[in-house]
Amino acid sequence: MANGKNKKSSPTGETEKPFGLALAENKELARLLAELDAAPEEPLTKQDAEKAANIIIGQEAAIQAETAASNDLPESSEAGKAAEEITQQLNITQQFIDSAEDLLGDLEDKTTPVEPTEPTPDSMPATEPPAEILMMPEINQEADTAPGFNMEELNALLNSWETPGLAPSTAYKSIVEIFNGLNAQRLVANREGNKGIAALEPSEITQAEYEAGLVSVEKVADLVLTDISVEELMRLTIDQKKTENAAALAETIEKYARLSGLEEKTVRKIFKQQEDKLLREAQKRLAEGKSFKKEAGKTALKSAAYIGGGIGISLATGGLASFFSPLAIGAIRSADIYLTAKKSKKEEEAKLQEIRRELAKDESAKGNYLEGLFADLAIAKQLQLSRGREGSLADCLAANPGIMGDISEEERICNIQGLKLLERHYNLLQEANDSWLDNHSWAQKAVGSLDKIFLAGGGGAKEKTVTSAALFGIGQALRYTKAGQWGRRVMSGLAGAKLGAVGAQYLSGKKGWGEKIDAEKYIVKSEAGISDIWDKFKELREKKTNLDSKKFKRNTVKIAGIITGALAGAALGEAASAATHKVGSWWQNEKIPAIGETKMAAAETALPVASKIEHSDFVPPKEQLALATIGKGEGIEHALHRQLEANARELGYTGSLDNRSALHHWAGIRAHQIAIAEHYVDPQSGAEIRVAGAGTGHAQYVLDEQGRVHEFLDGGAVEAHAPLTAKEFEYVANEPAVTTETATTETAGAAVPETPISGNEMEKILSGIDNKYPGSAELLRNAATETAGETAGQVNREELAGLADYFYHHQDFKPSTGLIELVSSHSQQTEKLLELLDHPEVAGNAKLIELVNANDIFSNQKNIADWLEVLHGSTVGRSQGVDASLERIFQTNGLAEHYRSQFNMPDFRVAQTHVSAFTGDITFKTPAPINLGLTKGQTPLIDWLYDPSKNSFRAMINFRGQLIGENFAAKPGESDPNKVLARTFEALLDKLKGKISSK
Amino acid sequence: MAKKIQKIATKGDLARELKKLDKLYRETMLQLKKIKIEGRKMLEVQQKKLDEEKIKAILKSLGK
Repeated sequence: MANGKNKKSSPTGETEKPFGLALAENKELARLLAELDAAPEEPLTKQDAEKAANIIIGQEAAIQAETAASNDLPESSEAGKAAEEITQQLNITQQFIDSAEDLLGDLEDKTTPVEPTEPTPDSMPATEPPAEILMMPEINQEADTAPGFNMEELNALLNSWETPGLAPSTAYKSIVEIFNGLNAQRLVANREGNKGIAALEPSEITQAEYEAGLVSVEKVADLVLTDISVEELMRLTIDQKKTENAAALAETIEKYARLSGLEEKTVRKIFKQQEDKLLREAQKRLAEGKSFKKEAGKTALKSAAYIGGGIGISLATGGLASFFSPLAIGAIRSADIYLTAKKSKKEEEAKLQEIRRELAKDESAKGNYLEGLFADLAIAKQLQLSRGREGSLADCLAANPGIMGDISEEERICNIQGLKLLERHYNLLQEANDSWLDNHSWAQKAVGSLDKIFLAGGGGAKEKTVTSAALFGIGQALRYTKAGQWGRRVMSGLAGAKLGAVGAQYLSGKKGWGEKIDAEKYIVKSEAGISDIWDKFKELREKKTNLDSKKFKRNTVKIAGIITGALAGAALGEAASAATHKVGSWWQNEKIPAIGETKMAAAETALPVASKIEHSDFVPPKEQLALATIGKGEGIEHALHRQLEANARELGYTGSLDNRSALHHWAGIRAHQIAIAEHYVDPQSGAEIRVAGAGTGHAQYVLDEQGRVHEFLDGGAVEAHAPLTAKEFEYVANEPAVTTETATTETAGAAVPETPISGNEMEKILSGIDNKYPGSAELLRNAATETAGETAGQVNREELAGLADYFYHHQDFKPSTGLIELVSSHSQQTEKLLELLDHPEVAGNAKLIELVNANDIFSNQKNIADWLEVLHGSTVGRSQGVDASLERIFQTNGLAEHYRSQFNMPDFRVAQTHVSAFTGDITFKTPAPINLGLTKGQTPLIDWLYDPSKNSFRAMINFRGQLIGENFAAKPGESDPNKVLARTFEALLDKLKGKISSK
Repeated sequence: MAKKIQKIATKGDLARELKKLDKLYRETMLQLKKIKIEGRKMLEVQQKKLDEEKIKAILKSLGK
């Protein structure tokens, strides 16, 4: 067996890279060239032409992605040369595109069509597919010379894997460092006894492939595609629901699981994904009347990108790959599916008929299908192997003491123990989540939608709600990284991510609150389950405090670097959960306590209450308890109403009992009066106590003869209310606005009216978070008024020594406190996330390619249009959710400062174009000194970087930090920058209006 | 401008054109990557300068 260190040469003589696009394209090309060269005199077939076209399309996309990345370099004076070269390079790119298009055009014209055998639509014969469709024969020959893990290439890739314009990534550097040292040891350590690969014979996936984290699509296909035809596979995939297929499908799944070493349930999920995908393709095909050809190309491209992304992410997180992987990779494959594939059964059947016909005659569709299937299998395998590797990272550190440099044995042990604890943390959580997800298929799909969250893409209102939740989460998360809490957050963050997605699904109306609450309980439980680990972590941290600080610092930074990558994604998820709660409650005009809020609410009940009543001696009859019990969807007044109707005379009704209508009316009024008198409702503000899901069926509000309310829970008396204060099974809805100084932020420039509601809501969130992570609310509040300068001022003297490597020391071990702390801005985590998502080899980038290539500021208009649509939504709460999301993300990610420094133009100003969440009015802000604080009620739709020396807007950045336009120069004679801005933006709006109205 | 594609009728013709295009692809990709890396380096130099200035400013503000 090859150890994989040998480079594999492609037919074109280039060294093949073990990553993503290059890998898959070259293999495809190699295969095709081998076929073509085997019979050069034979006439070209349609299949050959289509395969070639797919390869060319893939190459075009890769070039475009690379061009886009290069094109992001700034054209400031010092980097002017680079910019010139880029311009020149664009011409070169164009040459390639021209050549490629030329060849594509030629292929379309000059192929000799081969008539496909035409099976009848409903009886697709289960014949052996043509060899070229199987695409496998070459793989076996390649097995011994499969591409290996080349450290040099990895280094080169990681070093260059920094999106131009973004700061160098600490994590990447740390990982490169560590991997450099670890690699030799890892090769040995991983060779034996790794659980990830245990299920496979060594010959099935080479050790080298495993060590490189490289499980190619082809390799997996080679493993699993043995004696079943493509048609049969597709038939099984499409008709999974048919009972007559159950046995064959189960057998196939079992076989695939056995051959690939994956769990059966994983393979089953993958088949389900293929079904969804085929349906989606069919819908698309039917809607657009297009051939599958281009889709096939895209799929091939995506497949490669997923694999590449998986590896990259795995490496970037230092083996803690699955923090990101489930979020960014595993989910992506099914991301587009669940929101688009919802059709009625009848429609679905019709589509199935159609797709069978299409597939029968469209060979490239078969290829496409196979690519998808194998890519998913390969991803699953990659994840499985990644998980296996995680377990060995700490072991590798342990086995290779030199890696950590010259440190004491005690320090070394601390490091390793810390890492191991983190791994245990993660594993426990992963198990818990997997287990829960296994029992909730709808939640799996929701989790699958996470890529839309991250990519802030378009789609319907549901997606946008999801997006807002996640964006909110990003902003939130990156702020409450109070030192010392990070490990816990990593854990609960992943839970939150999943829960957030679950909530998103819930929000889309698929499930009721009950399911959501179950999910919360579950997550809370899993959190409690690892508390012991966290305690040990804290002990360890305290121990570390006593160690030699300098050496320790140096080495801990490495570890921190590893963790940081994971932290960003995980923290994001946690807050996504909280945000989902908030947005969800606004959406539904109802509020369910979030994790952590419950405790807070419970604590509040301890407040002294003037109107407190005694009910120790009040024992209601059972029948009345039944009447007083809150049912599903009911409020407190419902329970009061029932009791009033049943005991009307006793409770003061003087009218005729026979007049049911009058009685009912009286009871309604009286119930409301009592609710007010008992402080369940505040008629002034409209705030009221409502019963949360946890109280449904348990909480009882019993009326005595004086019309006072006594509270019981499952028949047991509970303490009376403080006015408008929720117990743990209750919550306060429509709380009155409280303008708090701490939550008010300032924006330089024009005064903007304060929006009352979100302040209090935000305070509520803050309290909840603070309850969970003591001290974090203060951080958040401070953050709200931080400016760039103030942030810098907060960096203490100790860190100054390291400021030359400012970003590197963003995550730092502080010997004075013994904490690994994220100092000042957290923009790096955001950048890290964006870098990953924006990297050409990460799947989501396909969308970015389209944006950049359009070379048009309106190319990203869909995002903006979607947001505008949300902002103009009928539900105020939705707008607030969006508003809060954006507020947070801009406050916390430091984008403005980042862009300013990257463009090397200290005079840059941020001009914020706000959209009022409440009126939809658009306000232009005079270009003002950079100020990340925003005013509530205002949404920064777009940020502009203004260059006063040129009187032009250098760049336009959307809420995601994407550059959506550049160089908006003033027209001759146009001196007021606001006019330039206004003109540009109005043009944009005009287009948007057209877009929205055409929806 | 791209060269005119010769007539493609056989598998051999396609193989020839694909090889040519692939060569161009690799050259283009290499150049793009090179430029990206070089540009990146230049930016880092700039960033370092900015950082140094920032340190000075902070030190000054701290009265050091």
